Amino acid sequence: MKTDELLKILCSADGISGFEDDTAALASELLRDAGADSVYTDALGSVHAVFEPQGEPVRTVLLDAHMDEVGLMVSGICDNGMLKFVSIGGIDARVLPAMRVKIHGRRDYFGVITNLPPHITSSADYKKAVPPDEMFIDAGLSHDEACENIAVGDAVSFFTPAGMLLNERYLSKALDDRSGMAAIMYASERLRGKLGSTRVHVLFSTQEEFSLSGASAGAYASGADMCVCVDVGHAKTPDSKSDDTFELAGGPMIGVAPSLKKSMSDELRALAETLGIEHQIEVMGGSSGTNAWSIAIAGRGIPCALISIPLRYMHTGAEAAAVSDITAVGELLSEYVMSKDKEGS
Amino acid sequence: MTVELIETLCRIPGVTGDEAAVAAEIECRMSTAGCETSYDKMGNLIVKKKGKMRPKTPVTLYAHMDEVGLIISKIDKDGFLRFKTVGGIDPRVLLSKTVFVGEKRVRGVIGVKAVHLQTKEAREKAPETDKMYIDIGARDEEDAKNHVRLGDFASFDDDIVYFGQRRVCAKALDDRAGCAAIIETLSGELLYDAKAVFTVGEEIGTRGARVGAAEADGGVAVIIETTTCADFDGVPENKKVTRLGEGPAISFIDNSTFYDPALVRFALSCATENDITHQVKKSGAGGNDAGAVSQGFGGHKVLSVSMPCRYLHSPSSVISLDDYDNTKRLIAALIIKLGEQGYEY
Repeated sequence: MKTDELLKILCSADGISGFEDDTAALASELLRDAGADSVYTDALGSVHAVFEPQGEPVRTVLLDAHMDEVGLMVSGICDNGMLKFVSIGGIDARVLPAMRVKIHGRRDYFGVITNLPPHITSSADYKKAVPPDEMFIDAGLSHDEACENIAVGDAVSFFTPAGMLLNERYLSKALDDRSGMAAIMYASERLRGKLGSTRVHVLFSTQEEFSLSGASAGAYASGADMCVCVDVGHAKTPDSKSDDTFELAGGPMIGVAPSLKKSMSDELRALAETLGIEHQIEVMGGSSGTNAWSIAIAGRGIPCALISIPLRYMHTGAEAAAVSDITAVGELLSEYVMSKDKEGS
Repeated sequence: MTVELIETLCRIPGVTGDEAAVAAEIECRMSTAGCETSYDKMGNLIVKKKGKMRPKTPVTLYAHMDEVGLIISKIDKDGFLRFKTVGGIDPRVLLSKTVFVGEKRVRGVIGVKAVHLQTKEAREKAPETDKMYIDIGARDEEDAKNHVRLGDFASFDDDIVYFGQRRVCAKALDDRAGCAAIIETLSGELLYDAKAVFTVGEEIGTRGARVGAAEADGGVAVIIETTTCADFDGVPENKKVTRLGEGPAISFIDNSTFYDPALVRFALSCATENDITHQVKKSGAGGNDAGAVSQGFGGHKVLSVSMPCRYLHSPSSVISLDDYDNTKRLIAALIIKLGEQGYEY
């Protein structure tokens, strides 16, 4: 499947941390279609898919991307039927006023986040961000209707029409980390029938935005010998410092950090050079802030590498990524697994 | 008809200064409905409909065609667009919202750097429009210039959602909802002649109505609008202005008009006699074309009938279709009452 088609499918699902079931169902279907030998869901809701090699497996490579996205959760119902909420995952509350959302109650309900019109806003108010506890979700329901159909603890996801910007740059919520899932799907399809002794274990993990716990549990269960995590990294924007950010459409960001396996990072860099895949090096001083942090110390330890997809506007309802970057990550990933396979037993 | 009409009108981009497409749509519908249509030098669309009888006091209905939005003021070297707001927009509703730019309707997003890269202090301050940018996915300035010109208008995302208790969420309900109510009224059989002026330039100072006021000579002008509705928790009672679902609001005063109290009582009793749910606008905040029409060309008697509209001037404004229906009923009743009884002054 083409990268943009994969993105369209994967981003259409909702799944804030702890509520990944719909995304998991969709991912399982995609993995079965891609020819996985077994697909199952573990106790924390993460999806596992095993692709067996042609011959006797001598190593297992784990490919991880997280399924969950940031969002909101209903924390109360007002007398007038409006909903109070809290954030799940790191969200800049300044993106919320007038944002459209989907409330996952008894069924899905549409909602708008409240804001005051300029006509009754004082000039002092204009200068400060709206405090999150002064905003509500307006689902257009009366108090009774709201109580009947929506409960405290229900998940709320961003509702942004996805679409393509110029130059094949995709705009959607949840590209963090559905774009990583898309890259792994692309790699899995590319690896189909090509591996002699390497088992590929795909892990689409839960709760990354909350605690990295899905990856930690899932990686242990995989019994993998090594892992490549695919997540997103910050792409340049006019309001960010160029030291902290990377080029959109500049290719995969290969992570280098004390918490990552140096030899794997080196191999990825050398491979990208050899294959002529345009790439960028992301250097981190300690944690990578991704599942690689927890997977590396899962079980008896799993050496980890990290490849990130440059992403603009991370953790908003409208994130932007270049399709070419995602495809390139998928290519690098599959080539890396093939290079391991060529090492034989 | 209502739903299709509101949807069609709201979807058309028509930021102040660029109302032609809205006018064309209305003109087409009105001439199909047997009305006489013409334009004045400002671009206001004037529509006349013959009734069975000549009214004692003729009614001229007003609704404005323009909507708040953005205008592109600069294209930077990296291909991001800088903009100015057109009409009163609180910058706090803009971050991470999607827009369509120019005649080619190029999709873009008002970006904001990721929460991870923001300081706590920055997150507590309101964002400023002059620091914002629109990302259309362009590679650089030259690429962007192939798709966008300086001075192009950008309008909010045109996705429309029907939800909750007969609610509509869309951009531009201010005042396409008013336009729609007038179109529906004049499309039916009328007992008395009636006239409508669909004005331009309301959002930057009721400029179209200054010229369009001429059409109200010899009768009563009724401005069909949307107005502030901040009926939720945490808003002081005097700033709530109206309540959603409790009918069209009739104004006694706003920041540009002192309505003739006897005429207001005439309208209130018209609503009561016809059993039409209505309310009195409980604040002098805001203003509309009524000010310009009441002062223009030697002065006119004016009324304002406004649909309560939550999140006015944001990308996600909300009205109630119950209020819309009652607004239509009130317009029809006023045409009859003024036609039959007349209003002496």
